Order: sequence, then C-alpha cells, then structure tokens
Amino acid sequence: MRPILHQVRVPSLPKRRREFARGASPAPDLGWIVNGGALSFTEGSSTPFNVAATGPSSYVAGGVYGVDVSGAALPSGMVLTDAGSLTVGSATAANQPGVVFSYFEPGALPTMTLNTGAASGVLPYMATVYPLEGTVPQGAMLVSPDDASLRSSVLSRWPDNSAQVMVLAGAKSLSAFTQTSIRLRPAVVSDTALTTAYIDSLLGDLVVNFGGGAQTFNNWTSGHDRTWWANSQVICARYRRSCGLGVLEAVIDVHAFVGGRVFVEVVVENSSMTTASPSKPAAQTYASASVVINGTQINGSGTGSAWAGGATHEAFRAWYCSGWVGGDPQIQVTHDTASIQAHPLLFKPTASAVYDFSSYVPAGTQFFGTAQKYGDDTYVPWNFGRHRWNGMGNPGDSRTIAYLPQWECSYVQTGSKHVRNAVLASGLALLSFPINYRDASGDVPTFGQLGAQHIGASFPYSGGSPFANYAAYGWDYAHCPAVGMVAFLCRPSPCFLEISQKAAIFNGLGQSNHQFGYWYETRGRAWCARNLGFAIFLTPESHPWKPTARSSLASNVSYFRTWETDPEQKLNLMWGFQPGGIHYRDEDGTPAGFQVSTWMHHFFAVVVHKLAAAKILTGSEQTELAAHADWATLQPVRFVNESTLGEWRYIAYKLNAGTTGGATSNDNLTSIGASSTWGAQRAWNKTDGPPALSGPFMAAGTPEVNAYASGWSVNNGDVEADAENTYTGQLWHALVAAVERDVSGAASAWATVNANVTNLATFKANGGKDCRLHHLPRNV
Amino acid sequence: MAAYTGPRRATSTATTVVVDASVASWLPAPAFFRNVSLANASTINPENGLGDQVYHANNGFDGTWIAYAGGAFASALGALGSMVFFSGGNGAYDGNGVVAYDIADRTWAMLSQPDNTGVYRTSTGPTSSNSTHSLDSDAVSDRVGLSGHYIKDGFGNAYAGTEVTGNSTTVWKPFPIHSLCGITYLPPDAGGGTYGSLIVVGHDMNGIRVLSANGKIFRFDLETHVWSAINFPFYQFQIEVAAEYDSFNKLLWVSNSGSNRPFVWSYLTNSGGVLNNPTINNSNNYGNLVYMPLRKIMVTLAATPPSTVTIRYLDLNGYTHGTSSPPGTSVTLTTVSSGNITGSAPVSMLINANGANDKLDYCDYDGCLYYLLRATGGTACTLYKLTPPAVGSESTGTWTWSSEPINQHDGSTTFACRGGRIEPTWGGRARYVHSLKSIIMSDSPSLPVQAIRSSSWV
Repeated sequence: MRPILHQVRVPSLPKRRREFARGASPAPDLGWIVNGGALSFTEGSSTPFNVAATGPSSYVAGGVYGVDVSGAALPSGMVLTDAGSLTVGSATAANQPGVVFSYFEPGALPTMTLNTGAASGVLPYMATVYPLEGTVPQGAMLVSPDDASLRSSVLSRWPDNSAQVMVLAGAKSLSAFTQTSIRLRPAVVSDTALTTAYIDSLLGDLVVNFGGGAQTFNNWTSGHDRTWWANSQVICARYRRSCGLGVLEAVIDVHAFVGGRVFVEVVVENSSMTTASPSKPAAQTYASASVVINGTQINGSGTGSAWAGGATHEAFRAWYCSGWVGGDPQIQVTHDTASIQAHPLLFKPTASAVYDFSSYVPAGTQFFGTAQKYGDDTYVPWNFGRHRWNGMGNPGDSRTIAYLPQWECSYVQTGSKHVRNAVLASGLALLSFPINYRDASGDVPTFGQLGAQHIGASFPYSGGSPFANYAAYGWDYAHCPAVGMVAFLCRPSPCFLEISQKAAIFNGLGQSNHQFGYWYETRGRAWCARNLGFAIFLTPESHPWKPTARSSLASNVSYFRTWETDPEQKLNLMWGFQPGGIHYRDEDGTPAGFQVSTWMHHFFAVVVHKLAAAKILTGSEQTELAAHADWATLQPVRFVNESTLGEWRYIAYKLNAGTTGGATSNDNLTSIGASSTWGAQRAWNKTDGPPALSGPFMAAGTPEVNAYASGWSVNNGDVEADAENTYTGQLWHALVAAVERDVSGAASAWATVNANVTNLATFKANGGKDCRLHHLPRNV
Repeated sequence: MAAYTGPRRATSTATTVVVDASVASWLPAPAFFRNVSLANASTINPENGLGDQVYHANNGFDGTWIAYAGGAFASALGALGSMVFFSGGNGAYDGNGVVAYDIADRTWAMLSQPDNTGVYRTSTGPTSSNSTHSLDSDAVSDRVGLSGHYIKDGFGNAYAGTEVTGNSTTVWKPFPIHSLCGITYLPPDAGGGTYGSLIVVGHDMNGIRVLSANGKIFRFDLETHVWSAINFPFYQFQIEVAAEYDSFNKLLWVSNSGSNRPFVWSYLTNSGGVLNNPTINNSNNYGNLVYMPLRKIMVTLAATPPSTVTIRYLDLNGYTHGTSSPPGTSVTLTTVSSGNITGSAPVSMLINANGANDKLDYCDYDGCLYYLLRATGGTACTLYKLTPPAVGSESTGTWTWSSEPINQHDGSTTFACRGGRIEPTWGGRARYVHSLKSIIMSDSPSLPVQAIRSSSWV
C-alpha cells in the first residue's frame, strides 16, 4: 500500500474530558479521524498502516489500539497490533464500513500472568478482573489474543452497565515453572455456558463425616442453590450438605472446567438459622472430620480438632478446605500492577517495593505468631493468618489497619504471586472470626432479613461485643480489617465474596438501623463502610443480597452527612460520637479545648472517596455519596490552605479542633466552639507563632503540646519504624484523595505540600516498605 | 488539574476499511483511462426483446443516463462496491428501475425492474413530456401505485416526518426522476441497511410537486430492494437539489439553489429539518455539494461564465443535530476569497447552470476534489484537481486548481463519454472509487464502463 498522504492531517480539535469511565460506548473522540474515515489495502500486501499516527491526540502513549466493539469488525484476516499497526494479513477483497478504532491508555486493560508450578500440559485457570467503567460494555466480554479459549462472565456492573467484576477462565498449554502473559481485550463473542449437568458428569459422591454419620451428596444437576457464574470454560455452582451435627453444614462451591478438572471448595459453618427469628446455633464438638469428594479426602488431618477457643465449633465460626478432582493445575494467576493501581478502589503507591517478596520475612507478623515469608503462608483451619486473633481492638498500628492491610497493599504494589499467597491465606483466615451468619434459606442474611434486629437487642453473636473487642477471636468494629475485595481479585472463590457479605452484615448489627453510629468511632465508620462497599461491589447484580446492602450504605451516607450540616461544623471534620448538639466527643480531656483524632477522619475520607469513585451506589444515592466524599476530603485541603505558614506539617495523635472542652469527663459536650478556619483554630491552640512554611513533617503523641517549639519529632512516614506516629501519612493519603477528586483548593494544597516538605523524598521512599498510606494522586 | 478519571478509552469516528482485490489487472495504469466492464449496460435493458414498453417515453433505457441523470457509489454493495443509477422523467424515460454496476464483478444488473403494468399517460396521469415542473403541475405529490401505475396526488401529507415503506395498499416508489445532484448513497452505519441505500431527493422533475409543503426523500434499500419515502412538511426544495452524505455526523444534507436553506436529515434518529441559516444563494448554479470529511465541510461551487469559479463551503464543525425543527444549530457558509484561489478552473466547460451537477467528487486518498472534463470520444480527457489548503485554513489558505491529461490505455480505446450535449457531462455517473484509486465512469448504456486514473493515484 502506498503511504497515506493525509494520515498526519488530523485536526487538533479540543478534546472532551471523559469522566471516570463514563458510558459503555463513549462518543467518538471528535479529533480522532483515521485517515479521513477510509483505509485502503490490497490483498497480500505487507505494507502496514499506522493507526497510531492518526490519534487520538492528548492521550497517554504506550497503550493498546484495537477495534471497538461499538463498530463493525475488520475484514476477516486483517491484523491490528496493540501498537496500532494495521496490515491486511490474509484478508480478501472486502469493503467494511463502520469500523471504529479504539485506544486504551496504559492500565486500562489488564494483563494477567499464569505462574505455573510443577504441572504442565493443557491446564485450566481461573481469574478475576475488575474492569474500569466502560472498558467492557454491556454485550461485550473479555477475550485474549494469547488464549483463544478464554471466556468471561460478568458478576456486577457499573452504572453504565459495563462490567465491573468479571470472572475469567481458560485452558492453555503450559510448561512447568513458567510465567505466561494473558492480555485481555473486550470483544463481542458468542458463548454457550456449561450447565450443572456438566458438573454431574464429573463428580460422584461428596461425603462429609463429623462423627454424626456419613452424609452423602451427589445431586449435582439440580441440587444447587445457585450458579455463581458460567461460561463455556467454567461453571461455578453452590451446594450445601448437612454435616449431621446440629446445624453444622458444608457449604460447597464447585468450579468445573472444560477438560474435566474440578475445583471443590468447602466452608464448614455452624451458622444456619432463620434470620427473622434467630436462635443461636449450639456449639458442636467433633473429634474428627472428613470431607471426601470422588473418594479423596480434601481436608487435612486434624481439622476437626477445633483447637482454638476450646474443643468446640462455636456458633458463627467456620473453616475451609478445598481440593481438585483430576489434579491440581497449580496455576497462580497474578495481575499487572498498572491496571490494578488504576482502579478507583485501589491506589498508586509512592514507591516501588523495596522487598523481594520471594524471600522477604515481615517483622512482627502475627501469622502463627511467627515471622515467615508471604509465599509460605498457608491457610490452616481455625488459624487467623496475619490478623489479630486475640484482641483485634488492642491499640497499636497493627498491619491489618488501614484502608487495606499491609499484605493486600503489597499485592497492589507488586502483583507478586508470593504476596498473593498471603492474601489468600489471610483472606480465608477471616472465616475463623464469628461473623459467619447464614440464613436457613441458604444465603448470607440480607439487611432486609435483619429488619431492626441488632446485637443490643439479643440478636445472637459469639466472641464478645464488637465495640472495643479485646477478646480472643473477637471482631471489633473500630479495628476490623478490609475483607474480600483483594482476595477475590486474587482468586474468584465465592467464599471470599460471602466473607465480604458476612463482614458487612456483622458490622451492621451494632444498631437497629444498621448505621455505623454513636459507638462505632469515626475509624469504625470508615472500616464498616469500606467492607459494606466491598461486599456490594463483589455481589452479583442478580443476588438478593445486593439491593438492601445498597440501601444500607445509602442510609449510612445520609447519616454521615449529618456531620456536614451540624451547627458546630466549621472545619470539614467528623468527630467522635455524633452530631446533634448533645454528643460531641472531646477525645482528650487533658489539654484545653476540643480534641479529635483527625487521622480517623483521614481514614474515613479515603474510604468514602474510593467508594464514591467506584460508583458503589447508583442514582441520587451515588450523588449523595460523591457529595459527602467531596466534603470529607476537603478537610486536609483546608488544613493546608488555611494555615498561616507551616502549621499543617505538624500532626499530633489528637489535634485541637475547638475551644470547648478540657474537663475530665468530656464525652458528651453540647458545643465545640471551633474557629472558622484551621489557621485560626491552630493559632488558638498554640502559645507560639506558626512554624516555617518549609520544613519536615512533624508528629507528636497525646496530649498535643500547645507550642510548635518543642515536643515534636521529625516524621519520615516510616510506618514500620514509627508505628505509633503515622499521622502525617494519614493526612497525606487523605490529601491524595482530595487531589484525585479535585475538590476546591486541592491543587493549591498539593502544590504547597510538595514544595515545602523537606523530607518528602524520604517520606515517599518509605512507601516502598509499606504503602498502606503512601499513595500518589493519579491525576497529577 | 482535573479529577482522576482513570486510564481513558478513546474511539475513532467510523472508518471504512477496504481491501482491494489483488487481481486488478484490468485497471489502467496511473494517468490512463481504460475500458473495464465485461459488457455494456444495454445488455440488461429491461425492454430487450419486448419492444417499447409503457415506460419507454422518448429515450427508453438510455434515459437513465441522459436525462440529467446521476448515480451514486454504493461502497457496501459488492466486494468493491457498485455504481447505482436511477434516472429518467421529463419525457425521457419513465422506467423506475434501479440499475447497478458491480465494480468487482464488472457486470451490470437491474436491482429492480421498471413498473410496467400501469397506465402512464392517461387523462389523469402525466401527459407532458417536456414540462420542467411537476407532471401535473399542482401542489400535491404524485406517486407510483402498487401496480405500477401513476397515481395523481397519491402521496398526500399523512406521513410527515415518518419514513414509510411498502405495505399491502401502497408502494412508496418515486416516479422516474431527473436525478441531477439529488442522488447519493446512505451507508449501512447511517441507517442505510446491510448494503446501504440509494437516496433520491424528490423535486419537481419527477412528477413530485415540490414547490409546496409536500417534499419527499426516497430511499431504495440495496439489500431488500424496497423503496421507502419520507414526507416533509417543512420542505423547501426547488428544482435542482444536491444531496450529499456527511460521514462524520452520519447525516444526509440537501441543498439547492436560490434563497433556500440547507436541509438535514438523520436516518438513525428520524430527525431533521431545515436549518435557520444560511441560504446558499447560488443563483446561477444548482446546489452542488461535495463533502470533505477531514475538514467536515460541504463544498459548493458557483460561477457565471466566464468568470472565475467561486468556492463556497458549509462549515459543519460543531454542528449539533437536534431532534426538532429546525433540527440544530445554524452552519456558516463561507465564500473563499478569489484571491485565495489559484490555477485555472475548468470554466470553459461551464461549471455553471447544469454543468456543475455532481461532477466534483472527493478523493479520500489525497483529500482533493476532482472534476473530469468531458471529451467527446477522444483519445484523452482532462482531469481537474482542486487542492484545498491545510485543514482549518479553508477560508484563509489557498485553493489550487490544476489539471492533467488522462490518455487512452492501449492506444485504441476511445474515451467513453457520449457526445452531443454539454450539460450532462459526467455528473454523478462518474465517481471516485476508493478501493481502486480510480474514477469509475458510465456515461451511456451503449458504451463501456471506464476507469480513469490520475497520475498521482499510484
């Protein structure tokens, strides 16, 4: 083909800014016209046409070109590379109007890696991806140029009906101990899903025996509660079978793959009850337990000993086992970091990991009470993984505490298969906490089924009160970890999806209206809203759990917004207890005035920002959520911009945020007396003038000293070294959220911080060790 | 700074991708013309073996080519597209069949046969063979009936703004028409159907009275071979209309001479109407239009011989198509300053009056406009080229006319352009075909189809 004369004559028209993945089929970029709308090739020619030279202009280079699903396909046989080189290939004479080219900026399309173990040959694999809004429009699926067998299923959708959570499966010929990239592309393909009859053709008896007699299940065709997902490569269906002891039952998820292999997952729960009239299940004791599928026991020895918390299986606790029929393909699927770090629910770290996670041993780990490599983490029934099994509510900067726990952040940072191993092991370990509610109908209870029931009104629970819980295996609202979202990304297991639902339900049991209210603390509001949001995100659109969960989150957002309109509200700050004029909580009675743990607000701001950006809600409820995220993230912006000089560099454990208070008993003040600006409030609190605009981040404990001249230490944001002094990091990641939202003044505050923090390079570099707080805005 | 939006996805405007057959040995070399058809169109004359039929009129099948006729290039009909013809009326030919030349197969076919069962010239039918206006000269549109007969005042106004197709009682076919410029192609992605559609804009030479509020645009679906029609209460077309497809907005634009304003219609949304502005005001010219997609402008030429050809264009950048009447924003009509036009335009061949009818065509290979100068049966013809200025500089940059001789390919073939009349020239019957980088021309059913190739189309 002759060089095209006008391929460079693309008019430089103004570009329309695309909202976060707005629209399944975005309107064409008005400036991107490919060669005047016509391309000509000759059969057999090898001369390429460079689509990339035509546009789109003003987009980040290095992404992926393709043919958009909204238009016609290229003539059969033509080849378009990711870089935009279009050749005629084997195409014969054709005239195809309506071809729409697409361009995805780097990070928009995920790439997976299949990490094999000792197995080789044609091996099935399964994976999860979280596409950005609009990437996989309604009607389209994900396919791969690297594996023609790959097919996908959509679980949940964005408001524009594009895919939000997808499960993929394929089968590929692989060698042992290799890494194989699987690129993903949206396409419209026909696909015929497998049915439960296929499961029936592969499975015989599943037999559970906990000492109450062998319990056999084999009704695979019609005995399922639900089909979680199905396509031509895999079907995943849910079954249950009583274990013969009280309500103890095996909750079984079967993944049957083309080629005959089956992955069977079993969660053993002591949980089932009628939610509307609940009766706490009796603890069960069993000296041995076996779960057998097709004649092979898949639970390890000793899983029936129920060692933790005594020799019994307490109500609402659970353990897990799994096994492969046909042989374990031993594939660990990991993700490219560019795509996961681009997701609105995740983040971009300030630095690359400094650790080699194939050999790194985290210090102070609580996994089995001993330090070990992430890659060695192994789930064991009743174990708590890296979570705090004894005293979740104990003080201290536990590695579970943050928007995501440390190991899940490390997966976002690295995409490492070793870290993935830790994510899965500790993800399953959450079953050990007493949050495993199940309605007798088979699903995790919905908020609708709960009605107004709550723990304070005798709704049954185990493990102690979730308010300030210091007990063994007790779940604590103010310290509970992130649940399910990253684990499901690492492996599409329904048990992870349900763990997120279980945590969300348990978190809502503190009040009759299931709002995260008076006793939850601001950080508890953050963690509980986060887990509720994650569960909504993961739950399939057709699942009955989803609608009332959305309503519950919307109810919480309405409650959160009462802080915005409280008459004492001056500083965009959520304080303890609640608004309303009689329950303002001064957290520290020693110094004068009203003290607030602003770092709790910072955690909260990050959570609501991410839930809003991920469009967890819809319609007016989503609008409310976004508005509240704007309000919450404005606090760090005002804190910086309203400083006279460098007051914003000084963050104490509890900051003064009002003039009222100072008494010993100060939990229920009726006023706050905040100044109208952070600058004025900080000046009221201090006996000396403001510190220099330029200098390092400074931190202090409590009570906050009333001068800048002493009592402060340089804070480098080293979360590992300064476990108690991460408050600058919390301010930082809340400011990052504000910048990503582009709230009023965010750009100015960001510029001020970046221009004047003298230890910023060190601060950012410490994100290489632990990036729970060390995020970067993705729009600057 | 803008809020984080995530990695973005961009999509291009729709692109037509053509793969040319590698066996184009029948094409001429650059700078030559050559016969390409395997047979003449006369071999498919529906009157062959039958004698003159009721639709024969004065010229019979030849009237499809000579009666101020036009054609369109249908890119999706056939492997390399087809040339489609529909013309007649005014006493030249009353056959309302649709004729197509398949460029890849190099053969002719009747896509629909002329209606032959009705009475064409009766006391209530069209009696005049020379009227330049409506065949019954009243204010109500006429049509062809289900049995092919002429129905006086048959259209009425009942279907304003709604496309209607054939049903048990009505066939929405146009009476044969002097197509002039009022014929174009609507591709599949603009609502034209699988193979696209032939668009015929009604005017008062096809028996459709149009100096009234009863205008028509007809659509012939090239897959189903079914006619349909839209009746427009806001119609204001006059005798010579130009229809041109806007590939960016996927809209049909219609313009004509005088003080009338452009009309725009979307077959995707069934919406459109007459714009508020501007008036074309080509008082000495028919409303020729040619779309330049890179620039999103519609060019129209004007000239009063022997003056210099005037270049005007409708700027469609920023046009937003609405759903009411008027359907969208006004567009700007710009007249290129004579000082910004260089070279010699083919004024001697009368880009005026009838002469400009759809003779310009856009070449998407080099982004220029081409005009094939008629040469009666000679061994060479002249191909004029109008090179536009840089994109975005249409009003301030220089438009350049140039020309080159195109010679016979083999030393014996004569240029297959009919002689005797100045007016028709090549009109819409010669179109640039992207997949061949050639103009394909058919000027008579008794002459071969020829490919004409610029020296720069290599």
